[in-house]
Amino acid sequence: MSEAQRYFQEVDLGDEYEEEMTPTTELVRTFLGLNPARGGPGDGRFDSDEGARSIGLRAAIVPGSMSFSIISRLVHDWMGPEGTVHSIDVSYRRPVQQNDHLKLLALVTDAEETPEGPRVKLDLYMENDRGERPLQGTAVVELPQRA
Amino acid sequence: MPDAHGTAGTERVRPIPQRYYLDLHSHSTDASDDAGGTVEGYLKWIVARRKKGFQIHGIVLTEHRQFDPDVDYSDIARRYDVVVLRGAEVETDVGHVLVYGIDERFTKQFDLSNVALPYADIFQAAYDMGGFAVGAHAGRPRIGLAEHVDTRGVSLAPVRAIEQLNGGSNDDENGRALELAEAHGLHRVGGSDAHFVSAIGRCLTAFAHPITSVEALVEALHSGDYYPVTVEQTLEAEAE
Amino acid sequence: MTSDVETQDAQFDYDKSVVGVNVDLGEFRLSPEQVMKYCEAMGESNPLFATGEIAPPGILSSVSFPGSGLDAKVKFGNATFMAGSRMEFFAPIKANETLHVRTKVKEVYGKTGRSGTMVFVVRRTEFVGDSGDVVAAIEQSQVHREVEAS
Repeated sequence: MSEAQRYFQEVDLGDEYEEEMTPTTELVRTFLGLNPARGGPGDGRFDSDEGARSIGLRAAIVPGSMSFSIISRLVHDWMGPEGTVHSIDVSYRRPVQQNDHLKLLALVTDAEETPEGPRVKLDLYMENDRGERPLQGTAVVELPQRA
Repeated sequence: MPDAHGTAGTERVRPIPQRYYLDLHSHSTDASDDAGGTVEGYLKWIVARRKKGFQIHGIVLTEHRQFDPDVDYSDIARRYDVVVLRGAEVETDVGHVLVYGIDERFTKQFDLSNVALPYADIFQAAYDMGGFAVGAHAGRPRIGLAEHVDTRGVSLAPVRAIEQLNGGSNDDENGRALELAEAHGLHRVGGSDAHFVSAIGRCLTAFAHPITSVEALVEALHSGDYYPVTVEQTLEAEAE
Repeated sequence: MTSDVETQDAQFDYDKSVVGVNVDLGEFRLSPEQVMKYCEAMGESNPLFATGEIAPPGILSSVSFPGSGLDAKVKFGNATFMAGSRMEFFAPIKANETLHVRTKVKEVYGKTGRSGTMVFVVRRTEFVGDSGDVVAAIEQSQVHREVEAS
């Protein structure tokens, strides 16, 4: 859920922001339905646990592109309507399983005035209930200055 | 339930004050393709953590499969008052190995980009050439020593130390490494395996004396007088 | 044409000639309705995207383009997975703006991990606005691995 506007002056190293979400099977189907023409790997990894097990996975998984969308939503929620995302960079360390309860974490790791404007760097994590972090990454965001 | 910090296997001892804490395993955007943390980002984070009472004296950058002798972080290290040393994480036939004290002879003998270096040669050459090698994240499947010992019976004759506490391993994996160390009398180190800023210093190695050079680090590793800790334990030590 | 590279478990070869070669994939346009549908699906509630005129940057990870660029034809493993995504945004992504798309294989390399030896193919895709400026760029890394049915 998007918060009120966050301003550069209010940000400190170590600040944490957290959301939770569960990428249900239904949500995955909705995401894939946004662009049916995109296609997929065709091995059923997103469709069923059986399809996923056919390629050595424990259960049906979330498309990587959807995981990216989930973590980018975290950034958008954190920054507010006047923020600007300059980059988001993620590594998919393990598959994200459908219906896993996920914690989404953003940590401020740097905040500095640059010639291009005030920039905040975030570390991003997605963590499941097994203590695994299937997705880790960073973002660079520009926040407005409070007048 | 394992936690993401992988704290299993740390000694529940009262940390001795005046220990010197180094993170022996980290990767940066300067040279590791899967890293998101910059060196300066790591140092800023450490400064911020120190303000909260945690003790992190320095880090060792152990980039994947390479070592550039010309890279020098002494200026930035001085600016942030954090020791920055350099080693490498190489890939062998028994998993990943951290090497400290790499010189030209070592890089001439071994192509560090090879993902199947002969482990016994790596460990022995490191010692022979004035350095030290440590089995990285020893409890992890495939890329940690424990599995190769258990399933293939590889000899640990050339191995003196393993990374038992790794910030990227889960509790089970760190526990498996502890079992290996105890069964074979191996020394144990700790390292964050940080690829991102907020992970740096999560796990550390507690040394008896200050270490400000790679030579001093190698000497300390040979001594065996060190143990792995979590960063939270350095807070407890401060409070002693 | 092909290049053989050794890894811990096996050799892998691929078509080295495609590396660095840009291919034009044509153009596409997002409608406000597509943007709002994406926002609803992903729970995007930032007021910036409320009218559908400005798209959340993450939407680019869900769109498809005509064609897919040159194939590195990696001969390794029996499954591929997404390994990483890096997106850079140089200007807002606006609905109804025509974006021209070009893509190339940036690099191919091997390494070992928990699950064994892997081969990575990194592809860079750029979205160019009518002005000729790059609006956004995506670098996606796909990993080729050997997997066994469980």
